[in-house]
Amino acid sequence: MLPDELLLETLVGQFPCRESQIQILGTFFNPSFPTPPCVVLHGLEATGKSSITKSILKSSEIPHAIVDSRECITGRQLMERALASCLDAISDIEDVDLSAFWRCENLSALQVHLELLLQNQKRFILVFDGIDKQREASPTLLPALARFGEIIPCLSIVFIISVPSPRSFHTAGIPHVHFPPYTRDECIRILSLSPPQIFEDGIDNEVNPDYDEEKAAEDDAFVWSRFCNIVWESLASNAACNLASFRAVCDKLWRPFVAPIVKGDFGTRNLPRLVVHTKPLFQNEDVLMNSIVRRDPTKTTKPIITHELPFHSKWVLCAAYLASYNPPRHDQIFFMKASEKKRKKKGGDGARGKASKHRKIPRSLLAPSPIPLDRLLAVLHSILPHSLPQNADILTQLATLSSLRLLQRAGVAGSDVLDPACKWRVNCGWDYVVALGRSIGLEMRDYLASGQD
Amino acid sequence: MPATPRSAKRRRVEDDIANGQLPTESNRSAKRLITTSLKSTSKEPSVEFNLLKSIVLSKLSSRRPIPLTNLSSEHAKVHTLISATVQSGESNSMLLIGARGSGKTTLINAALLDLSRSSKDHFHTVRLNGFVQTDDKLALREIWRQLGREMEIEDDAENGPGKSYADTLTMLLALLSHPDELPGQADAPENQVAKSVIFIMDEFDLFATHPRQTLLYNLLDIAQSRKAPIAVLGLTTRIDVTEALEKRVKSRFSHRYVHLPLPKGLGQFVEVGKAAMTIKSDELTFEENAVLSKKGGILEKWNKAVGQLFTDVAFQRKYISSIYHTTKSIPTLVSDLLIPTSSLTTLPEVKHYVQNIVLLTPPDSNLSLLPSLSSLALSLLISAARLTIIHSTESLNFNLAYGEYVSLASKARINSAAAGQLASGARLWGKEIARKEWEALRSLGLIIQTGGVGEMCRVDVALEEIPGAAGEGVLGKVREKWCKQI
Repeated sequence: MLPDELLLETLVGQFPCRESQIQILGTFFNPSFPTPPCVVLHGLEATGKSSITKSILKSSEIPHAIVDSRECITGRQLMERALASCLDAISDIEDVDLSAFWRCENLSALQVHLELLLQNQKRFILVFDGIDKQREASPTLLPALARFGEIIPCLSIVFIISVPSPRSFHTAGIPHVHFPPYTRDECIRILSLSPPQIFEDGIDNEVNPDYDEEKAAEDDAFVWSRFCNIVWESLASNAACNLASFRAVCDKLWRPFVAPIVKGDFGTRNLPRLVVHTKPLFQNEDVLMNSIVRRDPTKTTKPIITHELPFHSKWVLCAAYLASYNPPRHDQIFFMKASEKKRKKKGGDGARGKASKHRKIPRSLLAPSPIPLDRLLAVLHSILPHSLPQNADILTQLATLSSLRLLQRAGVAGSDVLDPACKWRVNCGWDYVVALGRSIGLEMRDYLASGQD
Repeated sequence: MPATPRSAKRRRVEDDIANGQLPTESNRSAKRLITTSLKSTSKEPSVEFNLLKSIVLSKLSSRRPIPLTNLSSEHAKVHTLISATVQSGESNSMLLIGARGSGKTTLINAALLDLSRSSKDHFHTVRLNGFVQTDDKLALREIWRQLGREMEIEDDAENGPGKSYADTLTMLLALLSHPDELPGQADAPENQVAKSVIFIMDEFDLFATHPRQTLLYNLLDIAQSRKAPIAVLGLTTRIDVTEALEKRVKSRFSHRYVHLPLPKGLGQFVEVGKAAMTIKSDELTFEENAVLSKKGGILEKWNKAVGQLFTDVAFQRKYISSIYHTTKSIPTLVSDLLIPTSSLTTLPEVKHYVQNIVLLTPPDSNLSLLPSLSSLALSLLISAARLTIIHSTESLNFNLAYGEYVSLASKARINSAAAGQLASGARLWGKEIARKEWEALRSLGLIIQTGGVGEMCRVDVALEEIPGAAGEGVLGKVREKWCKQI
């Protein structure tokens, strides 16, 4: 008994704030007592499920195999991989005749193979990591695997999933171990265990002879723990509240935060002034986004992307946007060329209308509605200030826009493009279209039924 | 394990502790926790006690059967049927219907165990599971494999399961047919006795979903005609399973049912729990009996302690009443008892079970996820739930929810600025971050994509559920107001 408890103690040291989970798993995977046929470990991301399971199994010295669903792109690959990893684990212990295990394409085959493989074993633990995210899984995958532990006496199945659904296993009474997300205090405590250095290049002893390594380490811990607090309050609690993303945000902000200290503008204990000085860091939300495109940190406003399209293509795209987002019954108001004065009047009336009890769903927030080609062309003609020249091949431009995916064909793919019933839908946002419209002297807002703000 | 590696391991562990982690507060408290548990185990429990404990634990973790309680008449029915098949060669079919964990498999296993004691060599069993054998071809192959293993048929290329489905089926039918019906075997010896086969089909309702129900048709046909004696036992949770059978299959089924009821009263439920925890002497193997009888009376002491445990009010309130009044699920009760039992070092007492219990039950719904959401995700969820009420529509998309969030958050900012407070928690977040949180909500299943154009979604929580589920102080005043006022 004694070595087990010592092992558990080291694990508790390795994984802080997870005592009760480690104890429960320690009892389940205790070599001297039986393991339940099926155990479910559930918790959101970055709660230590996989790593704790791995270390407990490793230290308990029970033969085990771990299959990661993220590495398997089909259900069949999961089966093959499960068998292969079991074979690996068993062949370390005893001689296995590999020729007997040559194909494993479905659950039934997996069961047969495992039965054969494990017949001489006292106990074996098979872990399925992230099985709820398995791609192309057959609907009976989870319930069938959950029963393997009952069918094969020495086998125990462990599922690691994120959110358990009550009906996914079709069995009652499977023990579920919950890994709750780390709270604010726990997150900060865990991060404080490993403070990074303020002075990366080492300490310059000539300037400050009293300042040695020990003091530097103390300062690191002091500044880092307060820094973590600030990051949590300002950014992480709002949009990055799991441990991994919190740590990522802290790592990203740390160097710019301590740069004034390194430069010598602020002392290490002058935190309030430093925080005020570096306030823009904590107001910038870009650090929360993981992007492979590097943003220039000096630029605060994002540039609106525009494309240099042909002149008439711009008009087509604007017309398509207007046609998509205006209800057809308002076309008379907005696109009749003849009665401009009347339009203004009518438009004013239509916009106010009767005060309805219910709030209307703003059309601009919904998806663009599909439009027939005739309507698109009609709108185009009405918004063009000049008549369309003969040589402007609108249909070709339409095809180009569609191959640029700025316009999309709605409805069944593969239906005839020349079919007049074929409908189109605009595939670009409001900001893009407004910029486009301005470049050709068209104010989009004038033509939209529900004015965009 | 030999002594040296163990001590080496211990030394390694101690080294780890020595040069390992910082002694933070958590570490220290954890160490204290473990050292206290070490102290309590310092009086090493005896061999007999450990044996008792591991027997009970294997019963609790369903590695050993739990004796049946209150199911004697059902057991008798099943037992009569299969013993008739084995001993007098009558074919038959039967359905066992009962909820999950009502003891269908345990009942069958008990009956088979009884039978194997009396006439072990006279029957074969074939076990199929609808979850594993997902079509008739796999099921047939599995039957062939199990029968072949038991009957020691040569698994060569000629009659192995490598052949086609039709071939396997014919061979199987030939195997199960009466010798008279087979061509060319009319000169078979007269007084030959066929061995019976018992088919146990778990999740019987899934076999009925296989195309044309070929397997069921053939098995039930054999069971009903004068062929090899077989018994087909179907286990299912669905009470209307015969409705799913085709007419030709249904007419061949004997329409014998056994319904396994859940415990009818609290007393019966307690009885089952007690049966799981106590050990009767006839459950023990010979070796275990020998070990336990050395220290006489420990078995009785254990059983008496368990009996006292189950009559205690505090214990019943913690473990039994809630399960009994909601699901009556025996496996849940049994798995709840697992952890406290495994930490026992003396005979079970109430205090071991009532103090600091960890229940290993899954959460009831995804509402339990709310406290762990980030505040922006919560705001978006509230906005989306508000929109469902405001527009009285199920479907909405990210743009709508974000629009609502923006209007709510800017109002809150104006209000707090007017009141002269610092605008805490009312920061307005950008669309990209919000989109990221929206995706997180979707991956948690709190928001479900309904398909269609424009990524239309449905919110899986109602607005009025949110404040209660999120718990005290998670939402903050501003967001609580969002939940109340529309």
